[in-house]
Amino acid sequence: MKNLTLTRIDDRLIHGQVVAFWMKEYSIDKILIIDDTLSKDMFMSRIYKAAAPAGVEVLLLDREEGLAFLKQEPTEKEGIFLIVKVPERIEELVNAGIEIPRVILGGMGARNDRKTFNRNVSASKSEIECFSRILAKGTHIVYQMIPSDKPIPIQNFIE
Amino acid sequence: MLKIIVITHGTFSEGIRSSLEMILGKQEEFLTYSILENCDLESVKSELNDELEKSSASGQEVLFLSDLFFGTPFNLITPLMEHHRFFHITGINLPLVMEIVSNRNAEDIPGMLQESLSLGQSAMLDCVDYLKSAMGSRKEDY
Repeated sequence: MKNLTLTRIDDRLIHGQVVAFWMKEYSIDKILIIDDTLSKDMFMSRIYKAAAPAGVEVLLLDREEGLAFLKQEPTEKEGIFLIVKVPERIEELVNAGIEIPRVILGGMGARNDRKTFNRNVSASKSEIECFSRILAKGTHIVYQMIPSDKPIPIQNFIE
Repeated sequence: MLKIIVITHGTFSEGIRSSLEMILGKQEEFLTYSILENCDLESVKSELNDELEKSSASGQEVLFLSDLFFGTPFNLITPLMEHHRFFHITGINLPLVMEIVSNRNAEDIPGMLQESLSLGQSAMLDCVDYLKSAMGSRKEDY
């Protein structure tokens, strides 16, 4: 099973300076995005891969491929940054046996079915229940935009 | 005339327009989109698509200006590349936008944009360092 250096929930995926800040703090050579829709968008996949910083590979996989990738043996000196849009992707991986000790929640945009908790995080009832189930399995989830921010355990603000 | 569409986080786009117009006067074919937190991105995407269709029908070139590489505005613009042809510069500053606006009727748009980009980049300076070294031998004054 691969080791995850960083795991993030952010529906903006690789966006602007935010990812750059995180990559400065950790040694990352692979950004793994698990998203069914994006993995099938040939055009945007090429754009995301092209935008990868030097020395970093961007992998855009669907759920099945993502799980298969993470089940592989780790490579030496590999640094994987997993980014998904919603907590359900994390729960699926945890339930399939992938070890994810810590998840950083960065952003989930406002939507009709979502309640807004702060300017970056909105979540629906089922997403909140999903978070609770992930927490119950022992994974720590904190809200933190950039590394210099104080991480806030999501229990503090997601009811 | 080159159509210019500025898209940024928050109201930076409107701010840049206001500063620009203070110096260079009111601008035509200059659109701004301020992407706020609760923005309906789908409707912005649809409007941008319409603008591109309109311009393409009349043979007008379009330039997008955005603020951050892979920021939300940037990500609104990039997928449009699949079906439309346009120019797009990100990381904009006022000197860059002024230079482009002053030369928007240029024959060679790609060339003009290249030069403007260069100028925009060299417009950023550490002022104290620059002036100190420009003042050179007059050390006793400083």
